[in-house]
Amino acid sequence: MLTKEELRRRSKYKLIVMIISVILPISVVIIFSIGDFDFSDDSVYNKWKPISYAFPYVLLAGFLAWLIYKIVDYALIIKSDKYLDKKFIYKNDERIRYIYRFTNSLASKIFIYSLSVLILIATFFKHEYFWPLLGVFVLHWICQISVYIYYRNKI
Amino acid sequence: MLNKVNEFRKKFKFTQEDLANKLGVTRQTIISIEQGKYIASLPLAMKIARIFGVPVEEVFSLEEGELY
Repeated sequence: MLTKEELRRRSKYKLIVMIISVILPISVVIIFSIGDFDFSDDSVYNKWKPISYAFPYVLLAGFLAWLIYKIVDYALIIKSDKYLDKKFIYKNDERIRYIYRFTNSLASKIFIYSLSVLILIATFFKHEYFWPLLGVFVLHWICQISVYIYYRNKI
Repeated sequence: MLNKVNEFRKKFKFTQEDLANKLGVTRQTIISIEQGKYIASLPLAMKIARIFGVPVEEVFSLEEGELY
């Protein structure tokens, strides 16, 4: 079982990783913006211009927003005792952990994070793989959410 | 699995929130246990029994069909 001190310590490590994770993609975008990066030879994206041109950046913005949310979350755990207590109960609640056993297994986490990275790479480099990957990603999330809702109502 | 969590909680005049805070779980977990939807783990069952100052088997018991 996770103790409050452990939760705080882990949040510190995660905060550092998350901050680096935010800085890294922003740096990549800046580097590509400066460089000579051409989207025009891709057929899928040509059909949907200019939306398709902006889409990778929208996706990246969404990803960054999620990272920033996590940063705020970890910072609050470190700073506020009240928030730590709330998070501690949520993290240790055995019913929630039981539900997460079905939806949020380690294998599932590794799969979804790897897929996220692949989608991000595909948006910038291999457009023909983007939609199938996004389809798998969305389907996976729909399955996870459905299972979560099912067990949340059942138990 | 049968339980008397609701009965004991009312006897001790605890709200679901009070009991949840004492046990370090969410209120929804207490609701689910009381409704028999969720079976508490052994450590949680022992904590509940300790809060009420009674042996575990006084709060939780097996149903007829669960004995064997």
